[in-house]
Amino acid sequence: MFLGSSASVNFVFLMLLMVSLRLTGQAEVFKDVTRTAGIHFLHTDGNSQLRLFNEFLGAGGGFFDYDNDGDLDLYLMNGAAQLDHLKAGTKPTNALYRNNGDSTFTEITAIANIGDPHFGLGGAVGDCDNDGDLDLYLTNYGPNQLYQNNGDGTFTNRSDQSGLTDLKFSTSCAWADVDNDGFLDLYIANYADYNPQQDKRCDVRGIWVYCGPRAYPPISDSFYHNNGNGTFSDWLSESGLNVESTAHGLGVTFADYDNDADLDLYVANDQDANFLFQNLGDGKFEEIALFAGVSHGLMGKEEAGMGTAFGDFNNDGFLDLTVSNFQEETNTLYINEEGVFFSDVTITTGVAKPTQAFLGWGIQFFDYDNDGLKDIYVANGHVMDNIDQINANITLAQKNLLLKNMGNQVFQPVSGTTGLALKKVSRAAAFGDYDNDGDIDILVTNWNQKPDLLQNQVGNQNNWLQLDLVGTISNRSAIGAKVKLVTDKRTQFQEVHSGGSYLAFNDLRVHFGLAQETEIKLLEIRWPSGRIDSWSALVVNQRYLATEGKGIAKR
Amino acid sequence: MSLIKWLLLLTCLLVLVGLYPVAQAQQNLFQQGMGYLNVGFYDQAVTAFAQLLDREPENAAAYCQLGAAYRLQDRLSDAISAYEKALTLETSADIYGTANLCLAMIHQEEGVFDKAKSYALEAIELLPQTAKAYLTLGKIDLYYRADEEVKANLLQAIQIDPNLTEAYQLLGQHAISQKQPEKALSYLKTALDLDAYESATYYHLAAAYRSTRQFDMVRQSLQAFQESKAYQADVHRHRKHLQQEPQDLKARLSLAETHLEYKNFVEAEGEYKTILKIAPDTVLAYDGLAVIHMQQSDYAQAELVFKQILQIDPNIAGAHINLGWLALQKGNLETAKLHLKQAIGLNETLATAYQGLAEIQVQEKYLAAAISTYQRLLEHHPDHENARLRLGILYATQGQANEAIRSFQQVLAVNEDNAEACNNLAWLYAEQKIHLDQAVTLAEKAVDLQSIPSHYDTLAYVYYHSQQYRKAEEAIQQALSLAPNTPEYQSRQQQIKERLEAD
Repeated sequence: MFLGSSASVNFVFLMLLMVSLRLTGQAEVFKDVTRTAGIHFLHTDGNSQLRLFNEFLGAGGGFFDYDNDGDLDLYLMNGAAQLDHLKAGTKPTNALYRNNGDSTFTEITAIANIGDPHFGLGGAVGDCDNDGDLDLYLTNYGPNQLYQNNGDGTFTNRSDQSGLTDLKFSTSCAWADVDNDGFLDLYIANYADYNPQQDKRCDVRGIWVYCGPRAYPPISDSFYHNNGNGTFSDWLSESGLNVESTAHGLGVTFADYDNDADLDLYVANDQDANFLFQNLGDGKFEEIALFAGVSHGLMGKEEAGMGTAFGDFNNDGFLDLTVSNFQEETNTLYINEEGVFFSDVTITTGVAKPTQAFLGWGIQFFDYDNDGLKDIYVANGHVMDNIDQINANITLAQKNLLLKNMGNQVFQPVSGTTGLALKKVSRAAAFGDYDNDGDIDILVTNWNQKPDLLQNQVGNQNNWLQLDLVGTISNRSAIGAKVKLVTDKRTQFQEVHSGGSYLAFNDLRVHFGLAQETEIKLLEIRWPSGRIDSWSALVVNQRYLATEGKGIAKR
Repeated sequence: MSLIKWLLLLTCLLVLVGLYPVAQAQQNLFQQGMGYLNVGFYDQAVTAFAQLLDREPENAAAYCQLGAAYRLQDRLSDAISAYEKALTLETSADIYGTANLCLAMIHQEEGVFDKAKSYALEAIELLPQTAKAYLTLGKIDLYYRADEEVKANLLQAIQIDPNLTEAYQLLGQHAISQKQPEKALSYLKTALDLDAYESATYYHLAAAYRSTRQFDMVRQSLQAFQESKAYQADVHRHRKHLQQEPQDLKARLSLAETHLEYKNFVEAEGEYKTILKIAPDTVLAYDGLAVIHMQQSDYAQAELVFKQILQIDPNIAGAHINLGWLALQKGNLETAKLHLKQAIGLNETLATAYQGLAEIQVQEKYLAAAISTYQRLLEHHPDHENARLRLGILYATQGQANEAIRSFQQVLAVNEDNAEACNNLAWLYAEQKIHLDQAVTLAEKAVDLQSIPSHYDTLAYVYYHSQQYRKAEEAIQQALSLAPNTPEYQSRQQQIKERLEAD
């Protein structure tokens, strides 16, 4: 009896200990599945050993369903040798990985004819010819490239025919139908007037380092209007996007921040004031960032804007804005004040504290745990490969951050094992549900390292709803479509965006986290054409295909 | 950055003088290091403090100053090591407090908030009367969203030091985040009263006005923000260069001139004084100081500085001119004349010296001498508009109408829009009863260029002599409406009235 009691007490103690360990231990929120998924890509910046100015920007990539088979494939950009003596031998190329539908991928770059060999940086996907498949525009140091999807699993390079062979030093880009004519136009952020043959040497206290942006003059960004016949025209001046003060552009995102049914544009610039271009309604823009309160950081400083994203984190129907910045600058979070201006809420929302000690790049609002509130993820990594020689407290490789939206306009860092514990030199971060399990996964690219595919382990414990949107009068990718979803406890808003984050392209499908709610009271889509379609009584934990003016169906 | 420097200098100087008896050699090295820090020679400061520490490795004050030198070079990890080392040594509460405070500030900048907070708390414990310690803790608490603590610490900071601009700025920023725009505006305006050059304050001010939807005020604040940003960018560019080349006097002068250009006299004066510490005979630095005193109407100080310039080099004509002008202000005409003549003796092309001298001669009623001085000026500067104008007036005063007319004509040949020359020439033509049509044209032009009572009076006079009495009446009424009860105008009005009645 006595012995039995003792055993029982010990068992209870052990149980308590286990519970306690589970509570204090770190959960696996995102699992690093890169290797098991079959992704063996390794980024290279050309390995010049000369600290060439364009190397540290890294390269991007993203998710897109290139073969229309219902799952997200994966594309990764690569650098290239830039100096003649390094160009011999096998040339690195970008890589396309086809989703096998079982959470693994197969590299099919050559088969798909999309192994672009230029010094790659970023890209954007969109159906620019409205033929029902996603085309891919790639930004390079060197000529940018348009790869038109043939619809049969292969691509044709139509850069020259389309007029999109931009030769500037381009970084992020985004598709958007700025004049609502049903065809996607293209904005490209450009970085600097730079030539590796005339690379400068920069030093900090006698230590050779990568030059900062101010070592080279900025160049104007590019904007092309889609003529609707496979060609594009330079519309930078005509659209009013040719600002006097050019800047070192890095992050680009279109969104209708003022809810006036046209897409506005935000550009994050490196050590220059950021731009907010308000669409005046006819594809003409006015730059209003300073007036709207989104040009500078909290202390009125031009920060090193890297990535940027719009998202309605407080579910008030107006898209808020975030920007990732340099080490010792916080990332910035701006709340949208009814479409009139923005207030900097970086400190009050708790975003400042965890981000100041990191150098941020790819960034996005997304609801990782499907609780109906958009969280923030940011990819981090320093630009100086020898930063520890300059400041022993800072490292080149850094941890990426997941900030959970607590629902009271406060974000808290989420710690976790594997995927969230990685310390790498990250650059782009792309978001999409590659395994179609109802939660959003992350692809992170890393400078001179392998990328990370981070599989969401927790999101689908809550309910969700996903939508494929197909425009008929509007552009076929439905970029710019606004989706409102009403459930018992909250109303949420999403907008289909191309671009955002940094050098990345994200899943174009719209994803809603629903927490434990099971009833969709209303789903309303405002298409870029102005048409509104709405439905109710949809089933949760389901993907739907919504076609403009034609209804909705389960996929 | 300059606040850290100030704080460290103050604290450690106290330590040096009061608490820390050291050998003469070490004391010299310490003073040398402090001197280098003071003038921005950070490499040399590091060397001096490092040498001192070789001899005296337990000198916490030296570690503290070494940390400051590293901090000012942006060598943050080295600065942290130096301050941490200071904390391991036996020393005074002041030194401990300073090291803790500096560590708090660096860790806050680097985003290591937990460490920053613990150092800041320790600093407050050790330096309870140091405003900067509360300010730093308040700033850190902002990141913890500890609203009450933020407010309490910042208010404590300004209670200790009511001139701590940054505390008002942060209180303003905090009030905006608490949705208290009126409070924010009040704090931010105080911050601007204390420092009108801080761009961040204008940025916050715009944010406060935005939240109250006063968009005109937003635009106004942003305009000021951009102007102060331009100034700060210029300053930053110079300082960055000086960090690399601290001995570059030209760059230092350029920095001081930038401050002067934006009328930041405090910073300009500081920079000029630093230059004089590095190179005590730099005339341009004295000149800059004198300009500051002149702009602030502190003529006594300006005079002292100009005299210092002449002690360095008695042949600087500019100093003589200014001393002449200052003597003139004091009514000391003989001294003024002496300086101006010396200036002319040193450089006979100096127009301002001639002008000053001529005007003194006018005051002394030596009009012929004044005319001669202006003529000498014009030999060197034949197109000097003002000299010709003054000469014309002097001729007219002397009754030499033809010479006066020629002078005013020459003024108009240089600048046809010189209102005073138009006016005077018109008057003389009418008085001489010559070129009356031209006189009317000139008088009308003078009024167009400058609608002042005397020009209307001339116009009336010219119309009168051209027998255009109605127009003359209108013109004199205009003059009287601008300067009522002027006897001269009233008498002309009477004259015109009588003429009209007679007709």
